[in-house]
Amino acid sequence: MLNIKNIHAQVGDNKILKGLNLEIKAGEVHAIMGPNGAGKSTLGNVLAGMEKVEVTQGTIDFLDKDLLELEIEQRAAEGIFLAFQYPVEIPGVNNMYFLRAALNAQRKYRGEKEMNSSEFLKLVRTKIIQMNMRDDLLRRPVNEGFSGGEKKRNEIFQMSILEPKLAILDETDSGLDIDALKIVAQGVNQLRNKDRSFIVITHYQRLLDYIVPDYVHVLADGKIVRSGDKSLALELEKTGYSWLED
Amino acid sequence: MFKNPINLAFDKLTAMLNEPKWLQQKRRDALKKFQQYGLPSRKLELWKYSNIKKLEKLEEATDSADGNDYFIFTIEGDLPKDTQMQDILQVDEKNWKNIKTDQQTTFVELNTAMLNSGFQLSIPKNAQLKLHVQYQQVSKDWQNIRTVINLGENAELELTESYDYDCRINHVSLINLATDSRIKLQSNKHLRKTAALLHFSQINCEQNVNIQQGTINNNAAFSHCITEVNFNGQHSKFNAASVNVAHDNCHISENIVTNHQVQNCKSNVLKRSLATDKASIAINAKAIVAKGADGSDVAQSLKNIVLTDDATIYSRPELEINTDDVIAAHGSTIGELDETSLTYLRSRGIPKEQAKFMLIESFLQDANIFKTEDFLDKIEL
Repeated sequence: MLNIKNIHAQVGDNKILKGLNLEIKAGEVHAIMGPNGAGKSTLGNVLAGMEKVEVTQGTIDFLDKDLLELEIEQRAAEGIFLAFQYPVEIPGVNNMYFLRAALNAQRKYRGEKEMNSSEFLKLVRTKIIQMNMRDDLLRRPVNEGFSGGEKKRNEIFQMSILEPKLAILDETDSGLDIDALKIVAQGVNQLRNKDRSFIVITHYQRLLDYIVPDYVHVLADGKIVRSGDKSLALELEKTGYSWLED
Repeated sequence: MFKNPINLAFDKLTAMLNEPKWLQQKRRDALKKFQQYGLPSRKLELWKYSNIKKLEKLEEATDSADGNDYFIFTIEGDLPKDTQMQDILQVDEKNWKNIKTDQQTTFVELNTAMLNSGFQLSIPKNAQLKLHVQYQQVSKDWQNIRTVINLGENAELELTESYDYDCRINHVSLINLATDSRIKLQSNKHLRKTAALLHFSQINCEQNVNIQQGTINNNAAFSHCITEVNFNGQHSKFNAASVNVAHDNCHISENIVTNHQVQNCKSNVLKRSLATDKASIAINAKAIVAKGADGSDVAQSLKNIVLTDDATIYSRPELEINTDDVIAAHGSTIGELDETSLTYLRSRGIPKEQAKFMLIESFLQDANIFKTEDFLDKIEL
């Protein structure tokens, strides 16, 4: 599904990714861990197409397409979803209006029929129950006045509506209490299937108790320096990252 | 008005009008005063960012309305009993209301001098009326229109005004609101990029009056509006919102001056403005709280978006407070569309232009105080 080869990326003059390689197959869940400043979020931003990050070298193939040639919105329509570490508040843009516009824009891009309001409402009602979200949040402007947990839950809710092929969760667990964490993880697990893959960026093993990864990678100084299974996360919990200095 | 010698135009109009002597004298005095004031210079506060010379460069209005009617009135329901509607040129001398002017409001004097149309509407106490007035452009010349509205005690008026899209109008409106009256004013100025509008509006309130004013200023080669609100009785409220959108070389100047002359009145002014291409917008919200007008509550929120390098917006919230016990808040922002929000919308698959449209639409919807569904229908975004 995703093949990242020798990616170098920078923000301004600051070189962050320095030859990163990663291959993800359909249905796999990959956890990316690593110390602060290693480039974890930058990896998510590169995949989603954030303009502040400049890719200077390397290739990324996503479902046989050159991902780097695509605009942000095209990547989303191709099936990439980035759950933001800090979801943006957009005053005045109603959550429902926004989501329907997003869903229909993606469907239009893919040549599918746009969803009318009653079909969309039906879909939303089903998903909101699954996400254990208050429906009044949908009538409010996007993320405005939401608590930290509500914002993160809203990201997963958006993901459940848009049904991406590759979801990148950028520190979705940060700022969540244990109950909110379980709800968010439950939402992610509901979406797991043989065709959908996940990149879970996190600092803590705790999230991986609920979203069990197939692979764990350690990202340090812009590269993946070690890969393993879930036990690697448990090991990191005990040892930290001091071994990287050796 | 700007190309022909004013005295000749005055004489021509005078010859046409069959008016009483007192009115002719008032017009003559007004002409003299206008000539003494001269055209407003950019040294004046409310004209600082409006270049009056732009008016002289305007081509003549190309379109004129069919027939000879200056107004089209649409009244919802029955006209309340004892409501009086009168041609402004037929008003008795004792009912004529003078408006105090200065250099900044010099066009009020010109309006009086060259007055060729208007009406006076008096709504009796406890009555209710919904009225739509369309101001027509009947010739290529400037039209000087005056409207006077007197709302009786506990009366209620919903007034929607709209202007011919290719107008050349100098409009003076005077609204007198008696105790406990309520007025909703919606002013739709969807104008062509060659149109020109000068509008001075004075609202005088007795006690416990409630005013809601929604304004759309959509283009015009030159549009300069001044609204003056005078709180003369306690416990009155003025809630105003305007959306100002200018493209190409358009210029819009929106000015509100609120005079808190007595205690316990509340004013809330919200303006959302968007300029693109080489357009310019000047926004001025001024509140003056007089000495002793304690318990006043003043809020001003001016937000502006500039979409291109050549567009300009001048935004000025201003508080002049001469007493102690006042709640006052004002704020002004000018910027581009928020890139972070734009990126967020795009990251969900919404194309860039659509995402921009959504952000602009939501920005302007803040000013939709009457929650009308067709609020943005005639605005090019």
